Amino acid sequence: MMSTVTHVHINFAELRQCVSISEDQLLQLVTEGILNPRTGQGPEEWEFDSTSVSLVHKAERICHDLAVDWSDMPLVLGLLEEVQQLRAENTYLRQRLGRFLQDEQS
Amino acid sequence: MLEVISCQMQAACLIEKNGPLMDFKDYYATLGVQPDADDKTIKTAYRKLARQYHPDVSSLAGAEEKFKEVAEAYEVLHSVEKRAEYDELRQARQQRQHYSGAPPGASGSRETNQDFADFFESMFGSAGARQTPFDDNRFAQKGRDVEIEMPVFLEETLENTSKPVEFMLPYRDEQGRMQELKKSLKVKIPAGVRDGERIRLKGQGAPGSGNAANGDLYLHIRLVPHPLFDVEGHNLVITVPLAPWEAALGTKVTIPTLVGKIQLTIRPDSQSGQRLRIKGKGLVGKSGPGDLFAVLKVVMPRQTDEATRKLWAQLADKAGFDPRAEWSQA
Repeated sequence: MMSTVTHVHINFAELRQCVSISEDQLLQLVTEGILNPRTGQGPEEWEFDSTSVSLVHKAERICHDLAVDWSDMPLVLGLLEEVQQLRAENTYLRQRLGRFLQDEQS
Repeated sequence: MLEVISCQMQAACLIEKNGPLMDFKDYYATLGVQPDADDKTIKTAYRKLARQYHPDVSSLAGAEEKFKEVAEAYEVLHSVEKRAEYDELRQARQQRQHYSGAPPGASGSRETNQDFADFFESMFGSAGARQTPFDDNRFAQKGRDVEIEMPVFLEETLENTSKPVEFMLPYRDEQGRMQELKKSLKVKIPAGVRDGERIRLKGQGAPGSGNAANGDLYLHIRLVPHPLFDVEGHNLVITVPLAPWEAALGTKVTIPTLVGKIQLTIRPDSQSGQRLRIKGKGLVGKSGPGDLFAVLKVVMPRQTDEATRKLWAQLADKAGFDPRAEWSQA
């Protein structure tokens, strides 16, 4: 069966329902800039990109599987984000460099 | 004593029942520890391997499968009860091999993650199956989220596109056995999607259990590398090869864009590596279309005949150009 679906945005309460961490832990991720509300001045008005759920799930997995303290999670997620950006930049630069370099044929 | 015999019989049954289809998994080898390793050694080994293979931190191919094996081994070995039960089975198997003459570890087949999961369930049953972020077998539990890679061509990002996707959803049947369900959807990819972006499709993941909600489906957007264009944010970059005389004298070059061709004017005395901006010919961005950057690349003919070589020699005499003048100032 084929059906057409689209992406969605969610508010803070919906985000809370999707994840298993406490409200305080969720607020910590917002306060430290890991989760960035798209709009709104406070929890009751906040609206998040739907990908925020996946980010919180990632935090939950890392916390559980790697035994990382939740208080360290903003640092861990921040560094992982930086690693991801650097990998993407590295891929791009290698791709660009490849268009200019030519190996000598022996 | 009765318990030990029971365990040995269970091991024999497990081995007999599954025969060559299911190998005995050496959880100690998976974690790289000795069978007499203490809890601290096992925990240290797990954490080291988890950091290496956890799919959220690793870029290694097959990391997720490897992590599942490591997590399963740790699940058993860090629990006193499960480890004791596993050790009994392991010992019974060794004794059986001793009597049958089979060499230790002569399983003779590949160990896949599914083998590990099957083995774990055979030992501890589905009720005792471990909880990982990747499995879901608790009662009244939201269905598992599923993430799939969605390759998107650059041309497809210019406007809203509908694409069919097919994927397998894991679920437990009424007997508690893991099954897979094939699902087909037509998904709308919004214009301007970026590489690495995730799109959430609510409720399209694995079915929930006990009347709980379905999981969600995440589409992980992967822009397919283009043979001509590189992506820089919402700008595009194209490398434009030029003959040396085109760079020196200037010319007009027809260059491709994602939606057609345009004429680009190359000014005299252009340099290799120079970037020329063509406004609005990039990808769709949130604040308007990106630009196309044409990067000039001066290339030499592969072979030069005698007449041409003489012309180059004349040019060398007349031009009086030292491309390495900056070196002498250093």
